[in-house]
Amino acid sequence: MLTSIQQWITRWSIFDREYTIKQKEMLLGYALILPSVLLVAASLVYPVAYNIYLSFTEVPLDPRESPEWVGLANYEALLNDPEFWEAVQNTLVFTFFSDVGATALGLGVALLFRKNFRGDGIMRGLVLLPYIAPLIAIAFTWRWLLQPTYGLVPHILQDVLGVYSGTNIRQTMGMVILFDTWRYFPFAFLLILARVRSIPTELYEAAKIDGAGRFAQFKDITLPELKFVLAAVFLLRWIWNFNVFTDVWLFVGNNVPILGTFVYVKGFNTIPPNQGFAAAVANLMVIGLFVMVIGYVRYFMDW
Amino acid sequence: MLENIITMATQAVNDLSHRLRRRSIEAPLWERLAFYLTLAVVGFVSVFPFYWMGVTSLVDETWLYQTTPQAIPALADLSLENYWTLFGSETVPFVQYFLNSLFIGTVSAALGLSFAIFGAYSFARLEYPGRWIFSRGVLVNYMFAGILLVIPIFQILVTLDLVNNRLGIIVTHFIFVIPLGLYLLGNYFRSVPREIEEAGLMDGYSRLEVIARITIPMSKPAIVATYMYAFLLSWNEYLYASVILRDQGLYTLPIGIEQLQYAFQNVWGDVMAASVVTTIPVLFIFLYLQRYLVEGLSFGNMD
Amino acid sequence: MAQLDTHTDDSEPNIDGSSGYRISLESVSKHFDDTVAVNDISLEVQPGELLVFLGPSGCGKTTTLRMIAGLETVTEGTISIGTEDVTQTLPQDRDVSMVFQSYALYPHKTVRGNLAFPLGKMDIDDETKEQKIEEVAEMLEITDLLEKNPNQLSGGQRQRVAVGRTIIREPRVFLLDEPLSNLDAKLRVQTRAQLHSLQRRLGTTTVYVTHDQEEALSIADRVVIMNEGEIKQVGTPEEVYTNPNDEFVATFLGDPAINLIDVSDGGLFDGEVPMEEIGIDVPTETARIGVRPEDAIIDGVSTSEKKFTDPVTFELDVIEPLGHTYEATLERAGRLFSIQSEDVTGEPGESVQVRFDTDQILAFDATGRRI
Repeated sequence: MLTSIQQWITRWSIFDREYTIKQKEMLLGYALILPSVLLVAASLVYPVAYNIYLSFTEVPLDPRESPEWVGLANYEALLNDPEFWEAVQNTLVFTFFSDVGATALGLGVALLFRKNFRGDGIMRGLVLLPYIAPLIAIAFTWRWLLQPTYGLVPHILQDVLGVYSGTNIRQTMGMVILFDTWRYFPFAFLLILARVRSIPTELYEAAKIDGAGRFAQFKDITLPELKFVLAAVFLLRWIWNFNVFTDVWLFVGNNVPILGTFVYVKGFNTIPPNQGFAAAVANLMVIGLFVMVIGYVRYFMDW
Repeated sequence: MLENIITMATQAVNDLSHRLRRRSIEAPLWERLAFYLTLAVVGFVSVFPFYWMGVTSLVDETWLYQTTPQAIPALADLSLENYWTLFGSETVPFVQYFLNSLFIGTVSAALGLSFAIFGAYSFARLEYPGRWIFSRGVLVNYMFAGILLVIPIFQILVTLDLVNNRLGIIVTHFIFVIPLGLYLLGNYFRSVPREIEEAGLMDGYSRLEVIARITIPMSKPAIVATYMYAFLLSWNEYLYASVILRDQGLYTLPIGIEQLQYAFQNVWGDVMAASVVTTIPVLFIFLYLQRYLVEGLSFGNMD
Repeated sequence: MAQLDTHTDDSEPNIDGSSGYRISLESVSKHFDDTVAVNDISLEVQPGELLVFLGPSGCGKTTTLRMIAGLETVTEGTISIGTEDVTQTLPQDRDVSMVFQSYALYPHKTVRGNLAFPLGKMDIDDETKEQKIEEVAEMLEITDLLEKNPNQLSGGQRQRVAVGRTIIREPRVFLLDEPLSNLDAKLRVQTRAQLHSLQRRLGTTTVYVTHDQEEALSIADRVVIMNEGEIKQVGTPEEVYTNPNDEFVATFLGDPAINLIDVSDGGLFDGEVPMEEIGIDVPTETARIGVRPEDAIIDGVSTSEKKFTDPVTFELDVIEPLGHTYEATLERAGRLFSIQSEDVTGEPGESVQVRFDTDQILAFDATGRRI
């Protein structure tokens, strides 16, 4: 059956049967990839374009009605909306600090695993748990741990250690950053570890003979070798953190608003939903992200 | 007799001190202690929430809602009542949620993989203009994931009448999964020895037949692993599921767990039990995928 | 012999009466981006013959083979099998089979599965398939390996399975890409003889690629010497050995390599040894002469009826016994000279007199061509 499909593919387009092998291979190549490309383009290119369109409209509740063009109204509204700016600020703070946190922690743990030790297989599995476990499960576990009345952590912090006296430690930016750092440091760990392990030990031995202490070794050998990986990890986490929704939403809902949750709330969770407005915010996010990524790549990766 | 004991004891102490002295050339004792201590802390921090999740799910309500939260329950406080509630409930069709997630996960992963296999093959073996861009650009797709496109995609699905049914979510998930499959399998197929496929051609089989009869059987481990990654993407997905699925009977696990909060009194035990149930399949899957993670989330050299 | 029905039977008679297919390459070139791997070669492979492509690594022989197979596209020129132009035919439709250097056995199938796979594309019933598998297995002595997996086999066994898979379909042409280079030396000689007699028996036109000149000369009906993408010479083993077209062919064939001595002012070694005087008769444009090690003797050793030149003085360096012959390395004016002979006399450091077989002296002009 497969031969006949292939024969059919090569035959239908040939009125002049003189296709070269190169052309036949090209045809097959396209035939195999085109369905995927079309689907993915449909789910990416078209929505991005459609999103731009929607941001200039007001989307009615009834899906059978078409959106009504309102020009820049949505953009004006959001630029004047203090909630929007709060979300922007929160997003930038969150993205930066959790990115730094996850990368730094991932680096630290990767350094611990640089050399083999007894039980490192199991340890590695444990360290990966925060990253691979379902988000819903760990988000709610953290919620429960931080529950003001019955949670273990506030109890320890307030009653045992006496360091915290707020009402709800969960709904703070600090906690959100901490959660994200915990969740994603294994990702940084994995990528950095692969690179760290490939640094030849001779470099360290030579440095030791030259009298370099551990910190100097780190600064002059490890860090330069890891430059690229660290930059890549930082970039990837930046992109994902900037766009984050589910992590924050499941953890604090709308209590620490970031751009992602802002879009969701405006588009699906308020009555009436304002999808045109939400689309405008999403649009700005895309543009902002693009600019940041290009800027980052230009500046940092052209070393 | 006493003499023997003394001789043996002195021997043992001598050996031990020799060994310790040798080790100190490798690394001072305090350094190794610090290392293991740090490792223990890292391990603890990674694992503790899971411990808490498990414990919370296995105790009865009264222990959970004490005025002073405790860290370790006594054996007497353990019970399976949360799980019984979950599986026996009439208001919350938890089993249905589980089955929904399972169904959607297996089907969307299978569909996504079928498209991805052929596309990945064309990346790996065939030549046509644009191939370079496609294969590199595949992962760029994920930069725009999630919240950025949820509004337009939602609108598109509404137009196609794909909301609030399983088909809609399956379609969304399987399209989402395709780029990942293309990337992972594209890498892997490149490492399949070219000559074995050429032998298949020389034996009279067309490319499509070679893919089906030679490449795919030889790539079984990679295909299974990719399938599992795809399954997990769907299993954990929250945003689109929450937006597309409205009827309670259609909920997947992430939505179901979120909704649990509102279903019961003193709900946390049940929520944690649900989280445990959601997490366990993931852990099993990762036991299998563990070896591939070492290569930094890609398929490097595998046997 | 069952042939795939899609090709016209334009086979031609072989020398021995069986039928085979001719392969024609006309002005075939292959370019990879900027490099020219094969440069305008034209060649006819006679029906039923075993043609060997011989040359150093990178000379284009494997690329040419793969073009005949269809695994590489042809940049220019045409390739025909029988009367059919196959230049743009996909490899699976050419009815040609190939033994790869790495054998390329299907790891997920048993040996039986590997042999059966090509049969899947033939229009025959299961019973005949089984029969063929048994036949081929017996022919190659792998019957007891049929149920094993390729990774359980030794190199030699895998090679035989690869050959089995190639012949079981009875295609128009066999192609072999350095099939012996992964075997150890002893096995190589043994297997080479087996391949030779197999090809004789089946009578299928065969193209064989190797870099080992001994291998090529021992099994080929004709040899094609290639270098840097071009054909240097085509001929029977004897022809190319005794009558090389140029210095490259002369030096490539023969182990130990041929001795080349520069000629100037009508004499060897800067004119010190005038050639006419010692009995060497070559055209005046000669820039170099070549003497194979087996065509020179040390004076004093028993001679045969061959005609030899007058003696030339060399200094003896080393004598290496090689089993049934000796290889003597001599030196003069900073250059080395080899002799291969059944008997040598002399002590290292001594001055010896060497004579050349006058009939076997090869003359080359300044560009390396033979005159």
